[in-house]
Amino acid sequence: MRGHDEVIELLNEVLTAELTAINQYFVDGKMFDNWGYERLGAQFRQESIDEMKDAEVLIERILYLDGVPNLQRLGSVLVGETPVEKLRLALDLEHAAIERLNRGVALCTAKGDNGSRDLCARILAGEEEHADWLEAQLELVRQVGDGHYLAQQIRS
Amino acid sequence: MLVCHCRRVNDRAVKATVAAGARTVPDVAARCGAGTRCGGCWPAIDQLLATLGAEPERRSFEAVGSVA
Repeated sequence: MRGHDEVIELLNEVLTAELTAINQYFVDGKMFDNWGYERLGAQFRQESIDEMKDAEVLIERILYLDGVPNLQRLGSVLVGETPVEKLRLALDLEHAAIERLNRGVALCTAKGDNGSRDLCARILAGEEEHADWLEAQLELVRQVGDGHYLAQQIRS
Repeated sequence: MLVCHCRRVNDRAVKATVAAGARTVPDVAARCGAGTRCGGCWPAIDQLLATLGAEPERRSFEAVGSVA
C-alpha cells in the first residue's frame, strides 16, 4: 500500500532515533558492566534490545507503505562518562523521542493513517515507561546521593 | 559526555576550545582534534557551539579538511 510521503518521512525520523538509541544504550550497558554496575548493565542492555524491536516494526511498516527504510542515517550517540551522566543523557533521548512520537501521532491522525498512528502510540507508551524509570533513578540519586544509589547497582 | 569517539574528546575539552576563542567546527577540530577522523561528531560539535552561543552562519561544516 502506498503511504503518505510525510508519514513515511516521520516513521524514518523515528527509526533514526531508535537506531541511535540501540547503539547508545548498548555501549552504556557494556560500560556499566565494565565498571561493575551489573544491575544497570543488564537494564541498559535490555533497553537496547527493546529499541531494536521498535526499529523492526518501524522498518516493516515503512516497507508496507512502499517507502525506503533509512538504516544509513544515525543521530549523535551521547556517551556519558559517569553513571549518573548516562542516566541524564538517556532521559534527554527519551524526552526527544516522546516529543517526536506525539508529533507522529498527530500527523498520522491528520493524514488518516490509523495503522501508523497506532504504531507510534504503542512505541510512545514504551518510551514514556522508560522515561519514568529514568526519572525515578535520578530522583533516587537526588534523595540518597550518588554513592548510596550506585552501591545498589553493583549486583544484578 | 564523549563528543568525538575516534579521538576520545569530551564536551569539556570542546567547551575549553570555545573559551579559548574557537567559534566554528574547524576551529574546534584544529584546537583539540575532535572531528578530525570520521566526522560523525560534527553535528554534535555544531550543537555544542550553538548552545554556547556561537553564531549559526559561522558554524559551517566546510573546511574541516579531508576525512582521514
